[in-house]
Amino acid sequence: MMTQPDSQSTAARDMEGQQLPQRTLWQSVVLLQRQFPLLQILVLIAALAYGTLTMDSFLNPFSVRTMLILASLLGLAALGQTLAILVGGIDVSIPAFIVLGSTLITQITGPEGVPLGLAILVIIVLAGFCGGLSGWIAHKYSIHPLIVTLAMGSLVSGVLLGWTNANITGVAPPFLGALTRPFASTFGLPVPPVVIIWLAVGVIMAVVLKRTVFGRQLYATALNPRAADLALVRTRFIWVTVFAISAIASAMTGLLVVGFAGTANATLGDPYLFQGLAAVILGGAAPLTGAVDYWRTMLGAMIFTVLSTLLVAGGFTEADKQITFGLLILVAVGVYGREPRVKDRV
Amino acid sequence: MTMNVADARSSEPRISTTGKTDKPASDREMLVLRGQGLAKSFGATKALRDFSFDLRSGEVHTIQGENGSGKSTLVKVLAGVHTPDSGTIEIDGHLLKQMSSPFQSLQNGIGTVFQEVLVVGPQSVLQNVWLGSDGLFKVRYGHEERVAKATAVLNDLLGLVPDLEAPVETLSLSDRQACSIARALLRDPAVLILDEATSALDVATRDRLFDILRTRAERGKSVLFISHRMDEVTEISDRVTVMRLGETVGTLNRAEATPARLVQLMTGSDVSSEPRKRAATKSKTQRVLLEARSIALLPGRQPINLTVQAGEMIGLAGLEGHGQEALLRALGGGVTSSGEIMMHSQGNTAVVRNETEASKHGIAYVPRERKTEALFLPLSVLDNFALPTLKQDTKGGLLWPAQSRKRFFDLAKRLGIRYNDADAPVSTLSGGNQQKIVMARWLAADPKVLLLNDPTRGVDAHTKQDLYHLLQELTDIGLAVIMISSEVDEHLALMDRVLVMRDQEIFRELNRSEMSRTSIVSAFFGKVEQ
Amino acid sequence: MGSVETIRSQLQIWFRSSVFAVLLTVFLLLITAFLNPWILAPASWAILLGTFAPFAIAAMASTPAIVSGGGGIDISIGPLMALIGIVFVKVLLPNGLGAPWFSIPIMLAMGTAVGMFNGIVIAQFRYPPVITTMSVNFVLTGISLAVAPIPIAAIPNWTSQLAHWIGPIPGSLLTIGLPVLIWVGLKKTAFNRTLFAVGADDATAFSAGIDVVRTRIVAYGLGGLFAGIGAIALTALLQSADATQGGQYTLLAIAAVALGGTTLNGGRGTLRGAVFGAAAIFLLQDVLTALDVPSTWLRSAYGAALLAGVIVGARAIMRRSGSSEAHG
Repeated sequence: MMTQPDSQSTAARDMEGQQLPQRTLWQSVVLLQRQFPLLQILVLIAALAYGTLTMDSFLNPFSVRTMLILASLLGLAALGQTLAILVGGIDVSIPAFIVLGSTLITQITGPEGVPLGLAILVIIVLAGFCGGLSGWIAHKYSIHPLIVTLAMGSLVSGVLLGWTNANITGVAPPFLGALTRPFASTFGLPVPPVVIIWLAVGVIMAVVLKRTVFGRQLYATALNPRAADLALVRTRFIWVTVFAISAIASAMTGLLVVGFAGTANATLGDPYLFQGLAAVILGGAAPLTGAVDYWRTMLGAMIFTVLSTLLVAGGFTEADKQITFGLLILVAVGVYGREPRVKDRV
Repeated sequence: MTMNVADARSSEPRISTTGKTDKPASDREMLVLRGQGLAKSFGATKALRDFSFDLRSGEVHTIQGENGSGKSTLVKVLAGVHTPDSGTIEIDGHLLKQMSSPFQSLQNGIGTVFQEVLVVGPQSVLQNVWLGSDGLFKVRYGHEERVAKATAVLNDLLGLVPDLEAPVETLSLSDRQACSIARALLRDPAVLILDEATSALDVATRDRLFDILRTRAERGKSVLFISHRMDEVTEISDRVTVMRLGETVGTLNRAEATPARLVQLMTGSDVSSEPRKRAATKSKTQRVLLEARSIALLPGRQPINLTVQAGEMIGLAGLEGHGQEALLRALGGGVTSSGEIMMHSQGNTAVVRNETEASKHGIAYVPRERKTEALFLPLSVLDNFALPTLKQDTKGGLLWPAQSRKRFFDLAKRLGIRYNDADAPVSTLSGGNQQKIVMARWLAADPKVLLLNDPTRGVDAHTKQDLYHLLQELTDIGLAVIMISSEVDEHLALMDRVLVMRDQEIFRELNRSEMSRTSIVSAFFGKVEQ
Repeated sequence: MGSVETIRSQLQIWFRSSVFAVLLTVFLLLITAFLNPWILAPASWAILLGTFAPFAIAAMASTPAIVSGGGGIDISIGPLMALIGIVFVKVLLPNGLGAPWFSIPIMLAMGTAVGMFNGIVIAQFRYPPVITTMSVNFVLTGISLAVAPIPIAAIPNWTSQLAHWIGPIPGSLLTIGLPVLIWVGLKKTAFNRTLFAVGADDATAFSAGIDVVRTRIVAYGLGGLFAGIGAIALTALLQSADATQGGQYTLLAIAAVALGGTTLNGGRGTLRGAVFGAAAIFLLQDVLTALDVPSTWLRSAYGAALLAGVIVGARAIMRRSGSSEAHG
């Protein structure tokens, strides 16, 4: 569906028998790549093959399951970023909402004794409200979401910090730990529940984006907000929803992350900002052409996880990882996300 | 198409073809600019196919052609915005190297005023007039010189010099346009290109501009003039080159360039872009659909009262930016300073407070700019069509694209939309078919009142005829159409009434018997003539 | 056009550009002075300004990229300051290359080079600014961590004076003053008005013959140069190589710029606004500390203040653009 404007076959027919300009092989490859993330799949296969060949333990059940869990957590944390990037923004409050989810679930189910279900409900409402407020402010006052989500992130994490006095004492409910234990199984399937949750979320996102009015309106808002307004799409509602979903998804990821880590702390969410952005972009998101899908982000999350595993196994430090992925993002953006020329706007 | 061009040429023996080699030598020495075989494509769209012309020193040379004939692309090629795919440009007999920026074009003595009013809003008048004259760091002109020259040039153009330090966005549209013309005049280029640059000017300023152009001509400086206003063309041009579908059709001398001849050349012989006279609405029904009560577009302006009957077709005319669009948007539930919009149907009367309510009551607004206001270029034809009416294709919360497809097929047939694949991006369609998609989008909502913002702008003659036909059909079955058009001929042929707007008010309402080219155009400039 | 109207429109421009931040700064300064009279004593100015300097300069360094328009923004300023500081402390100083005449040009050149790299990638290769500078942010942070995995104290060096007194003046006035001087100097050239024209309307600037790409590259380079100066101020304050010290400035600096009335849409803004925006945020922390607000609550207060600040700023801008449309 999200094909490129380059394929102008019908226009050519319209121009009364004119010949299509010849495409070079390179152009055809670029075109194909934009429609389908071929390169990403090749990179993933190559990385997996390299790992298998160079490391004995790479494909053992424990390491495969661990990689799947890490990819699931990253993929879920990058869900909100995918939508934020799609509408042409960015969400830097994701770490704060991960902390919100993980702190609240440990604090109010533990020391405060609130039942788990109610606790989750409270978290969803809080996160949805704060995230939605970000989207509303950014749209209403046309302030870049970078600034708004930065402020909202500080506000949320600041309140948590003040409330817990920087001392989070509770531990994750055992139920959450079970979701992310490498050797847990799901309904008899030999994969941890978090992986199944991730896949289910992936399917839901695909349906929402492609087969609902909201999804269509979301792409319309992303590609041409002015035309969307004139086509009676409530673009502000779309923005509010996008940032609310982002916050809720991040908070829910926070539940899983704290289950995985055992205890919460104020910096639990920090790595997911950079990694989530990397997953979205490495997956090949191209906001200007509307080629942003959650399944691309899922692919990006898997690539990120496998490459990180290889780098760590190869003795590279966290610093090296950051440099590598920073450069990788720059390369990926060069292929997808470039902006229109000034001369096309004269 | 090549056939038609050849026909046109053979049937017009007196047309002097451009780029002739058998000119007398003295004549050729007078050439300042010559373009040969210029071509430029965007993707599969050939905006410019094979365009040749020459510009003599001291002449005002007009390029005429329909919307979409490639005039703007030609201007952008000469201005260095676009690099031509093939063809050559000579200046004073020297072949130009490829120009890749307006800066290089300016260095070569070509100064261009572009179609859109191009000023930097928050910056001062002085800064806007001198924009681009400095280096990145180097100040080339001192403050006194800047003020003196800007004052002189603006005085020539406006008669009254505006405050040079005021932000240019506080000026009127006409004065802003004058600032961008002043910017080009200041550099005193050998070739001045004016691309529809007079459309926003008031009459007095335009007359002063023409005086300046004549004075320039006496000094041997040339002008390449582009305007769709026939009266301007015949007033100022020494020669006229007509282009169609990106090619040169021919060049006429002043004496030969009668409006009738020009129109014939512009449109070709097979299809006329001239709207056929629409049958006047039978006044039997008298059913009022839409009513505007004391709408003021800006605080303190004369309130507008308007009743729109079923089957009626009303034209909104006026100079660019005098409130036509604001009125049309207001009728569609947009923001006004005061007043209200009522919609009548089957004895019920509803107040329309916003765009969503307007749509609910059967008012559809079709915006002017396809690319920026209506289309989602990377999305499919089907998605573009179905967006506002998606609810119809929803069952159990999910979309069923097969249903949109069915709805689309019916309308596509009725509107004669030509497409290969409804799932291909809408950007693969031609401009005319894109315009029809936008129309189809709103017709699918089954409107009672259709608000059209200059729907024939930039579409080819075929599509125009299709649209005229469609409008006839729609008004016949009782739809009311209110339409902005920048072409006086459309008003004359199609409308039951024309409202001429001036300064955010309705200056004159003309019914069929009062409508004439003179009465409409003079009302643009605040004159009442029959 | 009467002159009264001109004066009024001039006042409006001045008011909306930075007066909000100026008033907020004065207000917070008064409260701070009331709560902590010691800050009025000249002796404490040098320390106070020394703490303030890296933040103020980071805000100034963020300004040119934002003014250059096209969604321009540079969120690699903080890590760039940290990295340059680390190079000075861990590479130049131990190798005897720390002399001012040698190290200052190197630090400034490093900043300018990284800034121009950003500018080239964004303006020439048309990368989205947020994603580009965020990637560069990651790369720079990574390099900092690789060079200085753990914080290391600097050997005694000349920069420490810049956080204290140099003769009769606070040393940090030099580091804060240098970007201002450069900016004022550029105002004498054509660059500033070219930059603002490009930022406000790049298509018009391009059509008038301005080299939009080069203008933007220089703007990002200028931000990098200021970041180089900021690195000196940061080193003066910290006297150590610490890879974790840059990140905090990145987004705070942009918040300061926004608070100072510079619109993120480009084409409007002042360096003065950046400094006062930074001052307001800086003083807010002081006031809250002085009011015995527990330090754990600082962060939320700062987030709320930033949110309120940008909304007030955006409302002022919306009112202005609304009034200019009415003239159309």
